[in-house]
Amino acid sequence: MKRSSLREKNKPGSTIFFSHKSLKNFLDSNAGLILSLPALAFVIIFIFYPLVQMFYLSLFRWNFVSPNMIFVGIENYVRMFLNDPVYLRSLVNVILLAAQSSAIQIPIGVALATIVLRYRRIGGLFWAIIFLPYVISSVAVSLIWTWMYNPYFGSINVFLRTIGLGFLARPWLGDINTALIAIFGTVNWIYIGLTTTMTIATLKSIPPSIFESARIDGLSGFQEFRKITLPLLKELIVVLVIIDIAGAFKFFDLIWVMTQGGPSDSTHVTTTWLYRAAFRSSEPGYGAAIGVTIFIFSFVIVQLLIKFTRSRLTR
Amino acid sequence: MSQQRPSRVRLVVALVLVAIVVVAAGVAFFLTTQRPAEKIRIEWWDEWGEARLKWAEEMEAAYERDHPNVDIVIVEFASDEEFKTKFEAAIASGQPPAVFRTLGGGVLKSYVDGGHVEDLTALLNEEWAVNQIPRTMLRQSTWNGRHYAVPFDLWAGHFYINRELFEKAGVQIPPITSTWTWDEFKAAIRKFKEAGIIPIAVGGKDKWELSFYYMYIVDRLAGSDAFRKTINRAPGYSFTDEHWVKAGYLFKEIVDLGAFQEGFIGASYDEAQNLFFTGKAAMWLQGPWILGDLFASFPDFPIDIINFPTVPGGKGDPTMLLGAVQHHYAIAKNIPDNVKKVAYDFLRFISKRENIIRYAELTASPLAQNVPVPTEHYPAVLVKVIESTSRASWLQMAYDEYSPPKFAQVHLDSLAAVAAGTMTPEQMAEAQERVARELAEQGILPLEEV
Repeated sequence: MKRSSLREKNKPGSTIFFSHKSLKNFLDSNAGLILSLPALAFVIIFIFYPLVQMFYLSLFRWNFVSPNMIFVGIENYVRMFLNDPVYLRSLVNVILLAAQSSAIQIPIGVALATIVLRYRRIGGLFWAIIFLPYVISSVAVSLIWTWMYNPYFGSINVFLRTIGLGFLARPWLGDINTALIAIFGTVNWIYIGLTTTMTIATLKSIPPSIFESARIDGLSGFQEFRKITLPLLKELIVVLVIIDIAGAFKFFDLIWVMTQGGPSDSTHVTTTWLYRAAFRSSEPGYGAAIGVTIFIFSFVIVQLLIKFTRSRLTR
Repeated sequence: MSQQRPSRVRLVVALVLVAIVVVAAGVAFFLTTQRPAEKIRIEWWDEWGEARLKWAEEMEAAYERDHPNVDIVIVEFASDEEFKTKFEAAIASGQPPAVFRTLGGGVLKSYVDGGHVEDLTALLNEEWAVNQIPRTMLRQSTWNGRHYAVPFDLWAGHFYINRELFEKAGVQIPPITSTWTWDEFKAAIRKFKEAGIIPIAVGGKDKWELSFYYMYIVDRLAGSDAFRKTINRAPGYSFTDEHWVKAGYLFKEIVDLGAFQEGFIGASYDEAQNLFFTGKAAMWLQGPWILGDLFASFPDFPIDIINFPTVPGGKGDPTMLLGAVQHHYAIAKNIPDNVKKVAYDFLRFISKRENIIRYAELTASPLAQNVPVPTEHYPAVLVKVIESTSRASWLQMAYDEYSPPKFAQVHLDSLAAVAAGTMTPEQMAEAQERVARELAEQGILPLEEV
């Protein structure tokens, strides 16, 4: 077809792309879209495609190397919820991890931030020290704490014995009653620095005049905290809770290095159980099914929280 | 106008453009990676470790000197697990390494079944190989009469002991050529505890160390056939048979006696090693691989080996050892013919007598090939290991290496649970039987005719 005839048919504003005018129009009006294409391509290749592939894989029984993948439908999911107590235990552990992170890190973080801001002269140094653990590679942290928890050489038990609390000394990671608590201790040690830092950043953005007028109005330090600081931090706290929940669902390295989910499967979280199923037992289909549930749970929870945040915060 | 264009059209346009970008990127990638091959590239994959890596580098240099058109590429992995994961990814992407190490057993079988491993029967029937490689050493890499790997070295499990601590606690060292009983074993544990010495160090976090005890006890109780018959679903054999449960209870007995260090179920290999090397623990049930590290840090360590005790009412032969052929090398099936040809030649090269002797010198491990190594190349304790291995009536391959990975995990996890007291030996036996049945239904078991 000759170009001229094409152009004749092509009335202004129609949707054929390759005439000069509409191409220009198209480029103009879609510049944002076109410029974001490379990024979009990456998202599709590296996020959407693997997600679809994971769901697909979760319907099969396979061992990574066999040429036959056996379609088993939802068998992997049935097994997970009806026949796999460790999976359920790992879900409980994720919930515990998220809950204790929020309950412990946020109050302590806020308290430390208040201290840092109040005593400005040494506050900066104090803040740097609190933040330090967050900067260390988590595998290094895990190894350090594993040795600290060691019943024979570990500094924690040595310390307890030295101050006369020897009856508290125990193999922290080698006891099914304390292993999870020991891991929580390390987690909090790492992340309190982050919570503190985010709180400091938020508090610094509050105009000081608010606090000044509060003081002129005669509010005590505690009243000031309760009536002014805390309400202003509400948004941040919601964000921190979201971070804790999302973080609990993707938590892996620390637990894997410290206990590998043991002793006796008591410290598994969903990701470590996924890893064990997929790569230790060579059941990628089952691992993928666990991955799908992690995706769904975290997606739903984060959506709920975002919705909750919006409605609360725009009020 | 175009601003009001329906969003569906926009979406289609966007997706088409995405597709174009993706294809273009793919083409660009393809074009930049297709370079003319100058040399034949042989990737050689292993979880090396220092001593074996040194050997590999010598082999590489020697082979490349004689074959300038070949590039041997040594690829190193930090752990067996990393090796497995990367290897399976390489297979899936159709670019397997030409030469790779394997431990044989269930894992190799799954690769063979998947059609990824070259059949080396012809190579292993060449004259040099028939003379040099005893057929019994091919057991772990042979199915349906076809051989798939060249065996290099062996391991055997013994109690490595600290002679000084035995003297200190007044425990007689049972000579390696004789046996000792379960009661003597328990009495020794009590004596060590009285002397304030940890009787046995064990790294329970990785679980395979715990499995050593269970496997030894099963073999002592029911003989060497028990596991192979039961896992391969021989009629009349079940994991719920009495000796499987009893083995769990005997293991539990020494756990309850306090034979292991405090918190052993959460302790890593390194922590157990530390206790033994620094003289806090008297015994460590291990393979000869510990010796390299031991002599590197403690050259004068009062090391010795003793046997695992016999058990009451046991029918097993007490000269049986836990152990197996350890490192084998195999060739990937799906590689270009010219590469494969070189890979064959390279396997023949590294199996030359002088290269095997060099292997023994550097790694200080007992050989799976029939090449006499002058004993002055080995530390005295290793000579003992080798002599003890040659006296053994049977080498029991570790369950977690012999069996399909899924069974291996259930075995390891439930044994760790028995050690922690969260599972009874009966429940462990049932869990093992359940997964064995499941794998039989799926056609993964049996691994071989028994």
